[in-house]
Amino acid sequence: MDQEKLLQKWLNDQLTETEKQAFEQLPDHNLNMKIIEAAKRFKAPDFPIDSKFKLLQYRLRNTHNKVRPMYFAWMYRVAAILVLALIAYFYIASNNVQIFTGNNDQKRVLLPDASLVILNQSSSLEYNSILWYFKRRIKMDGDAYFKVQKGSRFDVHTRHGVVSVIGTQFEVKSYMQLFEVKCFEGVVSVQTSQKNIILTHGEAVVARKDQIKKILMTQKQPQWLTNEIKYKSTPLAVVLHALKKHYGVKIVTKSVDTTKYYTGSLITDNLNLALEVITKAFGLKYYIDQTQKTVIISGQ
Amino acid sequence: MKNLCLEKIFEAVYKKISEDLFKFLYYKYGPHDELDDVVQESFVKLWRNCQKVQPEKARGFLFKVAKNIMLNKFKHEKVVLNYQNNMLKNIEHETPEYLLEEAQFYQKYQQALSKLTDEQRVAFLLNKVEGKKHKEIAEMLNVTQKVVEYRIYTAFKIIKGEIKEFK
Repeated sequence: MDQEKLLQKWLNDQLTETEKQAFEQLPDHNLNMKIIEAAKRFKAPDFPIDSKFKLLQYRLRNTHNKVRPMYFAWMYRVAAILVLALIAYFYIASNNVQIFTGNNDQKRVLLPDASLVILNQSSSLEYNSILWYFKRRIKMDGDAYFKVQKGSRFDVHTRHGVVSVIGTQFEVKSYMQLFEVKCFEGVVSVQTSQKNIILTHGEAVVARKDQIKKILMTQKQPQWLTNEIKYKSTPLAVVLHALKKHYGVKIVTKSVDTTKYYTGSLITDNLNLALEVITKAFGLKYYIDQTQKTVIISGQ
Repeated sequence: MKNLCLEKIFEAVYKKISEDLFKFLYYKYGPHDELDDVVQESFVKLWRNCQKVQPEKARGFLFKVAKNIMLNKFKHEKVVLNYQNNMLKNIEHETPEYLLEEAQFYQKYQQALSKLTDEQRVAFLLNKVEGKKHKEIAEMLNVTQKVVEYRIYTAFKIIKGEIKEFK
């Protein structure tokens, strides 16, 4: 076996016993051994696996920690937004305004933009005084007259549909079986589940039992607003008090039982007529002292 | 299922491969202060990709990543490996001539190692210094065992040639 072959086998640790002896007889055997021996002086530094692994764990945890605060910041942000949303929601909800009128009761409601609603008896309306600035939206049931300030769209939501206007005067009646919209000024859009009708001043729609009709009208204001106030089983004293206030007169009663209940109307544009209607109901007599601005009502 | 994302598995892989990777980098690129860090960085990258890398592919992944880091971080300069001069301990028992000869011998050896290709140096030193089997080195470098044997042999021949010239 030649030297090179022996050398190769030696480097591969594949020498047999006899080959080993032959290899050891080679002239530069000492040099060969020294080269291998000397190589060990060039050994790489130690790599302490366990402590290095601990360092790596620490490093990985630290990079986790770098992520975590951001994750928490993100959580805090979401939480803050939720809290703000909740506060805003409750704040807005707390500014929900509901107004009801009882029997023989009317209310004037001034909306945040100075639009006026006059609510007839046994009606209700609901709006939000905060959201109002974003969207003029009102829910109503019953009978109401609207005097809307010019501005953005003004929506009246009823069980029958939506009545929309820009700036106008109109009346909406929305009861179980009845839906009526009267436009006194400007343009009104009436949107029901079936139809979309545009009304201009002097026009009205009346819907009864799924039939919607557009009609013309002559009145300038709702009748109930000007002509009469309706009473139902109201003590006469209350009615007379309203009459006194409305016409600015003094009232003197002589042998009249003012605790009796009155059902009927108080006409508001004619004192004579108003007194006539009321006194007739109880069989009373009345006298108007024009100079004193006094009304004398007496029993039989 | 074996998954590198499990800390136990990851730790086992680290303990099996980290030292090999470090030695490989040292013999290939020579002494750099940052070699430890390159090893750690490679493992950080492995951890981040623990979903994608199969445990049995971890070795190949780590070596590739480490080589890329070295490529991006350092200019490949002549590799000069340090040697331990533990002869100094016995300084009183040796003649000055002998000591001088020894010092010159190791300097020459150092130069010879620098003249090897990276592949030859890595194969030779991993085998003769670290005691790695040819098969292990072949796996580490992703070459056949025959190639490893040839690299060791040529490395030895080159070193011997350099030393002989000096003698």
